Amino acid sequence: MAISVEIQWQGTDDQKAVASTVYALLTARARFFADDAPIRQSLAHLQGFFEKQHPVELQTKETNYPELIETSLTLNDHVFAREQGEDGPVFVTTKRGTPPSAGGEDLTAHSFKTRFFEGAHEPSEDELKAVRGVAREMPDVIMAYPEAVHPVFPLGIPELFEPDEEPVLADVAERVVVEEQPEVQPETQPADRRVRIGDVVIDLSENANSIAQKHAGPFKELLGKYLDEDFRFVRFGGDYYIEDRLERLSKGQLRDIKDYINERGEPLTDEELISDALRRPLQGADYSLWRFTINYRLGRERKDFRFVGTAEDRRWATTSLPPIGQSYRKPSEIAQDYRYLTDPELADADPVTPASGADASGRLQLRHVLTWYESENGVLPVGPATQLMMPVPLLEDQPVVILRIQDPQNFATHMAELRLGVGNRGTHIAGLEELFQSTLVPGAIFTLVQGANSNEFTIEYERQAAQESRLLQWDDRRERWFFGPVVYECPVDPSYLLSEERVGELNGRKRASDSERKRPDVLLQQAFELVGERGTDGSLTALVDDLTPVMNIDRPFSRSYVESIVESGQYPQFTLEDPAIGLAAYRP
Amino acid sequence: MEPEELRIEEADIREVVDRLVRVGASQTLDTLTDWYIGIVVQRVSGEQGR
Repeated sequence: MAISVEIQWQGTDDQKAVASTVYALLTARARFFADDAPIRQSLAHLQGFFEKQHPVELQTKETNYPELIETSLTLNDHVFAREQGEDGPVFVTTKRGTPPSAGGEDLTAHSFKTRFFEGAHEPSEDELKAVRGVAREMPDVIMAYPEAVHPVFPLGIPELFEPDEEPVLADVAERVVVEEQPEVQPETQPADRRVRIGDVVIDLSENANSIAQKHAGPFKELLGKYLDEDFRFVRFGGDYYIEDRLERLSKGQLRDIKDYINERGEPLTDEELISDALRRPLQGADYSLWRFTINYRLGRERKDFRFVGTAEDRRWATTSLPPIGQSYRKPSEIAQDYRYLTDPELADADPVTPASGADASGRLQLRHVLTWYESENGVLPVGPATQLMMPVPLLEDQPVVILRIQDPQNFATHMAELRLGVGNRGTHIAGLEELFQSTLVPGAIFTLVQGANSNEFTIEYERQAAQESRLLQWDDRRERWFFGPVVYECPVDPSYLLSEERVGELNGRKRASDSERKRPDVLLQQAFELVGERGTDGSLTALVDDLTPVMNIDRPFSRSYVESIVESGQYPQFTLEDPAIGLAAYRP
Repeated sequence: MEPEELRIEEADIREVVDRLVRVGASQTLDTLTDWYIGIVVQRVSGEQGR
């Protein structure tokens, strides 16, 4: 708020006019000065102003401005004070219309600078910590700076910053820095970047690639656990993506996919579903996204879909799609029959060897003799050794993996199921009835060779001159065993070839009942009666190698399993007479 | 001094999410682990460089 001052000017009219004009000129220039701040102007400058501007129309037409101005202002000494400057007289006034007070009064007592520093003092140690926001004592490395240096100045600054005033303080600062640096050395001390994952200590100052090579395992485990619990991420098999970036499948699209699989009648790959069921291009930029989407979304629809593929061959079946093949026994019965495979001591190790051939690098093959049970039900046992050449299921709870088995000698490809055993169910391959019954006979020797993909196999056997034998067969209508002529061109193991000459006594007999099937001692007794040699004491003796193929008519047994029944002591009627050759005896 | 247990930080995971979105396709855990190690190393060196 501007101050208006009523001043009684002294002198003639001209002198009053000059004095008031000078006063107006000075106060206008000192518009933002304090009321009592001195406003100075030299006589020379005032003269120049009057001579150029002629602000006052003088009655006397006076032209000697310096004299007129000096006289006018001197006369009004209650407003102006005269000082002697280097370039001549200087007049001083204030906005209050009085000369500035001279002498002992402190003109800066109420200035902004004075009030800003009122009560200021050098901060104490505790106050400095409060300013830094530090509640408790910090490690020396962090707190290491010379106490004489203001905390806001980094240690390097004093060298560059040379204050105009207080050189003593600067000297002290430099001296302290030089003295304390060797002890603290905050800049040169290497930072500890070690972290721990479980018991593994990892130095993060190393190169990221080097860390990944050395410690990928702990990082992977830590991240995997985190991602599985983070709702933003979704996982299918070993692949992760962002949930809200996935495409949505409508109920109509899901129904189209289900109908398409059922119509084709076999498990289909995700690519077939994208291109044929959803009619989306496989070359599109969003193909990867759609592939992950369809696998993830179908995986959530457990009521209608089940995954039956592998990591490289992702296939989907519907829950209404019948299992591959039509076995004599139910799938659950077969899995139960193979429960002995869960015991490593009972599961025979089929000879798994490296495959031969130009393109067989790293592949394995399995030599196997087909049993009657396997031929009738289209199954193959998968023991611990055979498991090595089987595909690994992609999902943790996946019960079935679809296999593609090529039969190059008949230019055919068969689809089969690797049924993975859980609990007391044994792992086995199923769905090979057509392959076995059209090409092979019980007792046939063949080789199963790994293919290019983990779920692809080739079945190979040496084609031989056609032979005809009367082999064991089951008459479904009469529910009786019979022997009929069969022509085959594959090599056979004679002990597994159930011909009329070996087990002719079965002709016209019924199968073992379900209760008999559950008792291995009854089946073994029947096997002794079929292939054993009767001794003078009424006992029957037979080689375990001869008993095993006959045991395998109604239920699968490995040679080790049969041997374990004989020598277990649980059934005292059976004894192992000569372990070296596997000669067993049955004493009724 | 015993090293601290490494904890997964939200900022690091957000970076993993951003990279997944930029790539536009699912990735294996091996790839995500490589990304994560790189992110952590960069963050720690950045924090200590300040």
